[in-house]
Amino acid sequence: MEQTYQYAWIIPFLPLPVPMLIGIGLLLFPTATKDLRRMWALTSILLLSIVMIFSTNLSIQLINSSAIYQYVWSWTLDNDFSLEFGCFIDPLTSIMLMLISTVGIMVLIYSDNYMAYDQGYLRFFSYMSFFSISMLGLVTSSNLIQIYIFWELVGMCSYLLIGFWFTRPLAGNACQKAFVTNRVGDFGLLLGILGFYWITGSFEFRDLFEIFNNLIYNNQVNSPFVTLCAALLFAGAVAKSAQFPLHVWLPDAMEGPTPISALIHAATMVAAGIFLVARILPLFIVIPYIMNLISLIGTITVFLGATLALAQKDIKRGLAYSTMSQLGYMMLALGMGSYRNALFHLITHAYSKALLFLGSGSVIHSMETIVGYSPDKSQNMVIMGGLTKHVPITKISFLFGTLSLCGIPPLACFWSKDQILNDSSLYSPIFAIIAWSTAALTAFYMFRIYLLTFEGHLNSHFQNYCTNKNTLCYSISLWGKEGSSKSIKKDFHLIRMTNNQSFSFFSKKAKKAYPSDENVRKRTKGRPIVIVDTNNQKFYSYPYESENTMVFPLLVLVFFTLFVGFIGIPFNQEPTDLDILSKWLSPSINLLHQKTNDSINWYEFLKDAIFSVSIAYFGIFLASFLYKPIYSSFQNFDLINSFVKTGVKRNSSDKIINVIYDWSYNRAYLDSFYRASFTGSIRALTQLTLFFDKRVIDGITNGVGVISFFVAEGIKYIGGGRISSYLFFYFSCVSIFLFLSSSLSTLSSVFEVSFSFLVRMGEGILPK
Amino acid sequence: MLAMYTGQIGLFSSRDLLLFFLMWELELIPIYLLVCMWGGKKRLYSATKFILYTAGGSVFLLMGVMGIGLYGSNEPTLNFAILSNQPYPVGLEMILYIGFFIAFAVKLPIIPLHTWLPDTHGEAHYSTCMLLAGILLKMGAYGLVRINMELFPHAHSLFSPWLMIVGAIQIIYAASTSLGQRNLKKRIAYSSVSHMGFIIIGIGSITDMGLNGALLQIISHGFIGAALFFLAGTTYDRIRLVYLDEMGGIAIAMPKIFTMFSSFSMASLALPGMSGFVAELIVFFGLLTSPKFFLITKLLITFVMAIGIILTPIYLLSMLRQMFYGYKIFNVPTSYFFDSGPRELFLLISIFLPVLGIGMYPDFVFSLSVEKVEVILSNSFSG
Repeated sequence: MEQTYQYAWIIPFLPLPVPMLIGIGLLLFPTATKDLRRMWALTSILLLSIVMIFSTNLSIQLINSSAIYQYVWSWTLDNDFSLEFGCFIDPLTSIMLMLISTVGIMVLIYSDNYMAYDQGYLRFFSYMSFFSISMLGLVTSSNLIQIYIFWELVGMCSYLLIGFWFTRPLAGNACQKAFVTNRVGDFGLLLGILGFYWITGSFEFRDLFEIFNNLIYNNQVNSPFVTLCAALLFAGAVAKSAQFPLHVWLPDAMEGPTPISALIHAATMVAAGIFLVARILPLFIVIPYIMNLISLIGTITVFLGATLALAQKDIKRGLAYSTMSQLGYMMLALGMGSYRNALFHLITHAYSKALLFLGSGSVIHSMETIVGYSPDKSQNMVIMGGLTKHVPITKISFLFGTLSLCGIPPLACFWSKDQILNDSSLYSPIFAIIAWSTAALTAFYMFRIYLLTFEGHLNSHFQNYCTNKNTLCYSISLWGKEGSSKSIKKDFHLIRMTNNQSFSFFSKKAKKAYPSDENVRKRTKGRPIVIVDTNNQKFYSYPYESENTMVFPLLVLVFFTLFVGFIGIPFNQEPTDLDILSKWLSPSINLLHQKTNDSINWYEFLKDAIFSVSIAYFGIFLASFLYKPIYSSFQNFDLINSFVKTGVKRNSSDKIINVIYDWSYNRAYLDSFYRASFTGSIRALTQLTLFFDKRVIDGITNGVGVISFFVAEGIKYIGGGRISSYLFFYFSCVSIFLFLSSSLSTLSSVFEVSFSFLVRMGEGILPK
Repeated sequence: MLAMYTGQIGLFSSRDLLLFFLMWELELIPIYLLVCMWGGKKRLYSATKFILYTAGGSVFLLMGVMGIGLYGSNEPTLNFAILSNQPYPVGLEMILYIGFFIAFAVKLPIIPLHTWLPDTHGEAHYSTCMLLAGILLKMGAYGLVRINMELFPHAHSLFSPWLMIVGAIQIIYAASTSLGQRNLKKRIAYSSVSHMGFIIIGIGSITDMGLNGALLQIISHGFIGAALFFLAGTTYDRIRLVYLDEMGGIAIAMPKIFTMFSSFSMASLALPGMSGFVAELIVFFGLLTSPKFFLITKLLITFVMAIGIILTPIYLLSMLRQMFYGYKIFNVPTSYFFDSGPRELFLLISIFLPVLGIGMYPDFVFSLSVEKVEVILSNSFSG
């Protein structure tokens, strides 16, 4: 079907009308546009689903025919410099297209409800559509310049969306941080692109690979330079997918609305870095050291992300760090050269993480009825707990996501992660150990999040509410009515809450101030937790389950999470070709001249699977051990406490845990380090140049001005028009002149005399 | 203002060196008056500074013009077409080149001679600022291309490495100075100084693409800088604050200005799809493909330029953040807070469209400039 390919270029531009029309509408006819807002949302969803159908069609054809298609047209007319834009359809592209469009549709449907009461509803939708345009453009682009263009656009969308609630100073800081960090990566990317252009003279992927292979074959390249260029290119990917040195923006990016976090910062945009590396993997493979660098960075990120996720209080930040860690897995897989596994994990992770984020968004939404519209409170996991009863569907889907991410068998991430772990054990033992241990950590922190959120009791009722008031100051009361009503509602709760608490305080005996388990204590900062009987809870208003439009995408994503894994499962029944994914990717794999290890026999597979699952269960067990809801089993608690107390090493273990918590809570001190080093140095440089500019350069000109001013004043004083001064000046000049001339004449006569004397002496001395 | 237009149009269209000089001088006076009359508090200081600087530059220009005119032939000729074919001895060419260069460097501004610009821009009324940024700065670049490259190709090829080094320093220097500015208009002014660095590099790399990029940058900066100054002026009209750290949270009151301000900042930091990006990209290519320089120099300069690319968003975005993000209660009564009216909106959109158009399809400009550029370059290589 040539025809489908012919129109493939239209994919990125399909959703374009929506942001354009919304933008024009908002600028010119704001009220009319705002009235029609549901219609705009519908249009954007519709267009994106057309894209999805289209890309599904494309990928089906690719599975059948497995061809790579490219279509280009020229951009500039310059004779010695012609940029060609095009679209480049290959399996990688089609996978990404499917992913982006499906997750995008889900998130759009979801956010229709999530953002329903926000003033920026339309702005949100136009940004989202624009984001999906640039992301689709990114994956279909056929040369590096085009990638760079869409890369920047994606970064800009992320900037806009992180700063969506621009009234919050935190969001402003976060979006600037994200953009600047990404710009550092872009800087590397641009330099890398230019370097490769300089080497090969082409931007086109296939030309690039071909020329480069020829050059390598003929040994014509300057290998340190090439390595440098490749590392710079890789820096772009590092920044975009939040790998180790440039990961700092991702957790802060959670300031944006939750659907954004789901779409951009979990599923698609952060995958762009992985996509880029996968795209130019043929280039990286032939360059020495760079693959090692990639896998090293991946491993560091895996470990760092997992440790940092351990002690986050904010639910979204915890998820963000876990995203970072999972991206590290993909990077590791790419660095090991297992292209297929990286992409497989990319897909499965995208669905699971989108599910998790949407679930957390639903949780946040329901928490907002209790704690008010302030992200500090509604995203705080300490306050949550015991949501199982109130939000059952969200809970189930969240549980699925968690299990999938932990790598429990029937779910998606198990298959991909297992394969990556397998490969790493073949690749290098150290990396393998780190990867395995991180798998346990993953299970641990994911279940920590899950348990804290859904199990136990609603901790928010036990919190000391007096502290909440100061955060209310910048809760979004600017948005007009709903904000204020919410805050009023919240105040109402507050009053009730205090009444209730005092009530329980006096009458009930169930009040127990518990110096509980040290972890819990640390989370609540030593605040005594008041435990109230369950009967009291009917006085409180419960968090409610989200509406259907929010639940529906969750369920669809659960479905995906359940079944996406199966496309990558090796079916041993077929002797020749194994799974759909490999078949799908086969042209690119052939492009890499790689033999995938197809024949995994069941025994090995089972062995590895059992090992990884047991590790995951170990993590889960640990998590449930430590974060068991405090009320549920006092005995268990006492047991732990006594166990801990009797233990000799209690202090040391306490210290260790403390250190880990501090480390993880302060984000490994990297942020403060960056702040101290980079921002500080830039500030210092700024001050220096400012000083230089003000004092030196401006000083010279001002100095010239001032000097000329003084000279002029002097002249003016001299030329004041008084005859006597003129006469005085004249006569003094004459007298000075006379004096000088006379003295000069005497001097000269003296000189003459002495000179003649010298000459005579010389004549006397010199021999005749 | 009309007198200024006369001067500028006359300047760009003049084929004669004497006319060029006359027009050059002519447009100083209206600007001086404009700054003097409708300025801020320190307007006299900055107006005087402006006129002294530019008049000082004009002295060199006059010397250069005289030198060219009186050299060689019997009767003084000042026609461009004749002059461009005339060879000079190297020493004289260098001296004349330096003379012209100083004159244009004041106007462009190139780094040690730039301090009149932020002062003037900081004090002048915003419409004056728009003209200054949009057109006046371009006169320097125009003169650099028109006279220095066309008339003295040999000296130009000698001086071009220094030009590029100065340009690279200027990008970094002005960007970091801009970050330290507290005055909104001065910050934008320094950003335009920083952008001029790209033009200098483009002119300095004697390639087709580099020169094209420089021309494109001239045009795009003309639009973007003017629009930014306009926005700064309209914002100032509303909130009556110039210092960035006093502002904040005005996005709620005026979403349209916020939108336009952020989109023009994006354009100014060379977001793809806008004209600035194309210009900078092409300057980069021109630099890389230029056959004249060593690899290390080229790499170094590219690297420095790319650092400038990192610095640009830092100052622009922190400006945006300080102005619009956050939430702050003003002492100013809210009745002053009205969003931009249709007149301003129309103006901004009509500036924004060409920016977008050039960014999407730069052939509009290239198709005009390519031939001329090739002629200039062929001259310069043969000469």
